[in-house]
Amino acid sequence: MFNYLANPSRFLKVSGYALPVLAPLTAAVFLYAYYLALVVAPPDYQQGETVRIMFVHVPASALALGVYVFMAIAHILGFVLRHPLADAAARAAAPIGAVFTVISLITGALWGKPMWGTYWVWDARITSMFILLLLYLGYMAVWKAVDEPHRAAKIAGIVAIVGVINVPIIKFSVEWWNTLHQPASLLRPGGAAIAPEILTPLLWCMGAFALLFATLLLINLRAEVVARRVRQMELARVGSVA
Amino acid sequence: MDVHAKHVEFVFTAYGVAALLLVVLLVYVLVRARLIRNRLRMLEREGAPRRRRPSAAPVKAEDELPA
Repeated sequence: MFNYLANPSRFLKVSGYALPVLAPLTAAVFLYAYYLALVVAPPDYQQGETVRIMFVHVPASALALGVYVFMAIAHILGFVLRHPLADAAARAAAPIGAVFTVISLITGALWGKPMWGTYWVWDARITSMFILLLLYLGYMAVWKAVDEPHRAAKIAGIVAIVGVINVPIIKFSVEWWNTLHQPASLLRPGGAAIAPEILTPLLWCMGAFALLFATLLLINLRAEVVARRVRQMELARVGSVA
Repeated sequence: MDVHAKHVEFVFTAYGVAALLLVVLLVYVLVRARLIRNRLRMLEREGAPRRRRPSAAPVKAEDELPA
């Protein structure tokens, strides 16, 4: 399947069939997930209604990290296997990951004010998350700044692969340092420390965000493939005129 | 959800900002895809070649095989 989709025309054909299924599925899962999150889930016994910010903050944060790892893996595959769509996939994922990071930071600040009494502190978790945003912006800036796509892919790949070291730092920052941010309550030894009434909607919301990522990635990657064809045609036209 | 609960304005703001950012992202992705597709159609209409034709430039001396 992986090699089958290496052909850009074949990818456009297969993704053309996948999108009309994926997009409505994403919308349906989103509606159901946020019905569970806003209507069905009970308020927290300590945090009250503010706990509902978690249903946006946690999926956005998890996807922000996941998308960056996806980009690093895509670039490694691009370097090792020379898969023609690997670099394009990483490039297409970057703006989506950046927006998820911004949502994570803003909703985190809005959750922090009523819970901690402040919107922002430069603790290890929040600072490392902010660095992730800078990495996303730097990565996208490289693609914009370098004209030659192969050279841009190489430099952007180095940014993605070196920057992925920040992901475990974000994940374990709450254990390695004394932070205002609470320790992990979902992925931790001994299982999730969340009541099932809140955990179930949270998992649905995470699924909805993951589907949204897949849908937007597919649209962006299709555009990226067409953009490469456009560039090839523009170069060919310039070549035939010269 | 109790809309009169304490600190509920933070919940509304968080959901509002997240929804706004996701809509902006969706519009950006869709508009970008459409602009690129339109550019491709325009090039096809103008009859632009798909690939660069092989150059007719003479072979350089250093590229020639030794006799």
